[in-house]
Amino acid sequence: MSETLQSLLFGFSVALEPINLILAVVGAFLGTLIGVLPGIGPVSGIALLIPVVIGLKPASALIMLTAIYYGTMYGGSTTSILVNVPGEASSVATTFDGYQMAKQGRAGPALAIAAVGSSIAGTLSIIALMLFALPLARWALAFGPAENFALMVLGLSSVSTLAGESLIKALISTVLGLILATVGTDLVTGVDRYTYGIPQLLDGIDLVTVAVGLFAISEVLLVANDVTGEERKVLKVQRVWLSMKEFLESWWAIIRGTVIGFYIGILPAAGATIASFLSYGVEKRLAKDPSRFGKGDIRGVAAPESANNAAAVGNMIPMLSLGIPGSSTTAVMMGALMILNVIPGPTMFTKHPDVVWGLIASMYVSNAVLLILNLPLVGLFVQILKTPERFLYPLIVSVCVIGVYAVGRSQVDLTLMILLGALGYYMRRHDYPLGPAILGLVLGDRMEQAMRQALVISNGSWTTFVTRPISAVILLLALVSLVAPYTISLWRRQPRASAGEDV
Amino acid sequence: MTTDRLAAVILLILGIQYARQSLTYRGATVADVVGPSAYPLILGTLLALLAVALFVESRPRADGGTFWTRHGRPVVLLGSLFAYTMLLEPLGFVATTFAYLTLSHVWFGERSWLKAAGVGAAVTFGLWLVFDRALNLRLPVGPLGPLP
Repeated sequence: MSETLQSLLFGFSVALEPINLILAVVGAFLGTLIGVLPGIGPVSGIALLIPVVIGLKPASALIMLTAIYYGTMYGGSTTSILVNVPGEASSVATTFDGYQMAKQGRAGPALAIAAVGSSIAGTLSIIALMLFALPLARWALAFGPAENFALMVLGLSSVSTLAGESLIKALISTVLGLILATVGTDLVTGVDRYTYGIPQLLDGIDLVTVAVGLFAISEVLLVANDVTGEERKVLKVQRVWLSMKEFLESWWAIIRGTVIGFYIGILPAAGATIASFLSYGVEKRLAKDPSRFGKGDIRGVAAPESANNAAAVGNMIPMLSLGIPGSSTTAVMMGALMILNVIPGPTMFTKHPDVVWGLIASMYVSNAVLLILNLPLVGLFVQILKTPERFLYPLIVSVCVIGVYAVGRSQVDLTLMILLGALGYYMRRHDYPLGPAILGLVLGDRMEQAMRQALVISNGSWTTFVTRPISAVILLLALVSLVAPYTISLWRRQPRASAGEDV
Repeated sequence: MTTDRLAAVILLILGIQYARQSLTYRGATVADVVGPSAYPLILGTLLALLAVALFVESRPRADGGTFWTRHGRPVVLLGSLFAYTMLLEPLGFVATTFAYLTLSHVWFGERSWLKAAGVGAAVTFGLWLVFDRALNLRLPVGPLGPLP
């Protein structure tokens, strides 16, 4: 325990370095901006800022990216409450009561409880993260390549299970991401694969290009069909303030939201979105007067907002201690770390303690910064929300073009971005989830290396993945995660026939 | 044929082609028993199998409207984006971005050309200030030479 405390103090000494503090403030502000604006979400927002942070020390870079991540969540709740447009899926549940509150002229308390709830949830979950991450990383240190390969299979399969309506489409998205990762020179043998004589492809397809193309460009293409000349209706905010009564009313919703969010967040793939819906549902069920939910009940804002923040922290655990990102946003953050030559996973705690503990401490700092920064700045963000879409979307396109060009200074990257934008547009229109593709791209290289190393150790015997006990159990879990949804739906269809056999 | 089935056929061809090409990669070394072809071979096979599953799973469903009514504006946007990125290096950041922004403001619904150009100029200057000056990302200058 004292060891954790000492590490945390060391972390604060990193996070509170002036440069890192400035980066956290700038990141929190930019993140809120990204969360408020439609078009650029957390994935493409973080990806676009990778070229900017690349000159920084890894710890500083990760601190800034985390602040951005946190900021986007705050920004997303602001739009949910004021415009009824959730910035991302994880703040959909906030619209139910948040927008209703704003319509009744209670936007102030809604925004305040979102901020306060997120802050409390964030702070409590970071404590839990410190207690969980280190033991998990210690345990994972004993893993060989076979176990790591199995872990990545589990990460990808569970993300695919929960990602969309069709498991097959989600798996196709995953495999496409993995396939994109194979482009470029093979690290072991030096053979060029799938480069078709294009020299810019030798280093592989850049994460920034894929994230921006698939997520941001496709979004602009999607709205191109129905942009109107009208300004958006943004509800008025009087005073962002919370009475003691409102706070006490929300207190248990915040605590329950935190617990639910944190545990859901740890599970790969089951991220902030599921956590926010689940905690909203729990509050509604526990309430003495559930009929008030959906009509502007403050607990209906407090619960999902606390849950999605706690889940965002929980999401960091598999990334930090196992090197397996649990969501597309953490996948992009992990990609950024890899560009900075920090290999995420259990060894990070010993090799880069400044990165891990600096990050953990900076999560506390980001929470505080956002609470202080955002409440007074709500007026500014409301103004930004009023920017007409006809000016906003062209600007987003230009920022994407500059950001992708800045990575490799090559026109090939831009063409790839456009092609991936078209692909992302098709996938969105036809219900293919995009998250698994990004996860596949980020994990692809390491997954192949792990597979090949495991086979070297086993002298080429493929059974190594199922004869090593830990690897076998993890792969079994992966299989269960893929098959379970089907079995459950079959079982529900014939409850009586199978009830006896199940015992 | 529904869009999903068409996609399934394309993915099947893609998967098979990708797997076949993986077989041409050779170069197993002592430190690597399976070589560079095994992993992509697995991926290609997986993709082909998933494509077959997609074909079987998909139900015939009528998509409303023709291709152009459904995807006309996104296709135009893709075209303009392509032109913008192709001209970025030869004409420079300032000229292309100003032209792109002005034209797309109007295309996205701005009625006044003057306002479209005004906002275009202001945004171009702002972007140049942030990316070229503050972040030092050295945007392409074009034939007009760098701004002071």
